[in-house]
Formats: sequence, C-alpha cells, structure tokens
Amino acid sequence: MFGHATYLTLELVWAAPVLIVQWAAGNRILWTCRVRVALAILVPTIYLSCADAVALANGIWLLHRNRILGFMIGNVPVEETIFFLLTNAMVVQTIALAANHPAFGVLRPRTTRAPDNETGV
Amino acid sequence: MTYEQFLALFLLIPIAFWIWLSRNHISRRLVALLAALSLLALVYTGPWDNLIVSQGVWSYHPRQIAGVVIGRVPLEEYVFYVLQVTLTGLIAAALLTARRRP
Repeated sequence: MFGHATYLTLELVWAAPVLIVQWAAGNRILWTCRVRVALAILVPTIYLSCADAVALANGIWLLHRNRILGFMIGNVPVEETIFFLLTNAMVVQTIALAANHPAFGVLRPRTTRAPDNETGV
Repeated sequence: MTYEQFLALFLLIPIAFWIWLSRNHISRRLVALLAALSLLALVYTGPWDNLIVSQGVWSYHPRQIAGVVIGRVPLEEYVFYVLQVTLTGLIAAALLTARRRP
C-alpha cells in the first residue's frame, strides 16, 4: 500500500487514535506520573525488542524487505521497536489512567493514600 | 525454535516468575483490568494484524507454527497479544503502584 513505508504507516495510523485520546482525556494524570509511565513503557519495549531479535533470527516472523524502511538495530527493523513502543504505551497508559481514576479506584490493594500524593515521581 | 517455544521462553516463563514474585501484590482489580485489556488487544490488534499480513509486511514460516490459522494470522500470534499485555501490564502495575520511599 505504501511501499517501504507500509509497516511504519500502518502502525502509526493504527496506534495514534488511542494514544491521542488517552492524552486528551488524561494528560494531567499521565503527566503527574510521567517518569514511571516512561519506565514502564521502555523496560518491556527493550526486552521485547531483544526477544524479537531471537524470533527474527529463528524465522518466526518473516518481515518483507520491500515493506520496511531498512533501518535496523542489529537484525531488528526499527518498525518492530516502534511497534512495541506504541503497543506498550497503549497498555501502560491505560493502567496508569485506571490506577488513578476515582471511578476505577486505585490498584494497590493495601493503602488508603490518595494517588495525588504521588507527585514528582 | 518454534513460535510456541518462543512464547513459552520469552513470555510465559517470565510472566509466571513475575506472578510468583509479586503474588501478594496482585489485586483482583488488576487481574480484571488485565483480562479486559487482553480482550481489547485481541479486538483491536486482530484485524490490524490481518491487514498487515494481507499487505505483505510479514508472513509466518509454516514450520514454525502449529497450523491453526484464524484469518491470515496463526493462533500463536493472538496468544502473543495477550501475553504481551499481561507482561507489560504487570510491570506497569508494579511501577505505578509502588510507594515512594519516605
């Protein structure tokens, strides 16, 4: 559909609406815990990119050369790391919003402390 | 290495280990949230993954998968969404609900 930019275009177009809605609705909450959110996104993204290197080396996913840009980190196309970044961001931001939303309640089982005390993380 | 072995080694075993380590800190609400998120991931990623395969971005080696294919995507891939959501979700919950040292 988009030649070498097919994978990148399709993943960005697919994830953007979710991420935009999350930031539009919960920017205050997400900004308050931005460091933890960033860490929670980056740690599994790095881990899954490393696991991906093994999967690609074993031919579990066969990525087609004419659908990716060709920028590689080792044997991992940059689109793969972007995919994990986008999907983990969707998951982590949902958890962050749920954990701090009064309608859902905090996820931590044994504390009564208000989530607003967790500023400057 | 097959897709199943990959899922077991890189997702299932770390998740099981994480759950065992944090067994006293996983609330019922978190389990419910992760279940809901897994369902959302299946509904949102499934059609997109089928589009990706139909556009020739990637394919699967028949020797690496069990052979159950839903649409254009093997069953293992749908399992992957659920396991990724679970792993990332557990890490996120631990990081986001950890109390700061006084």
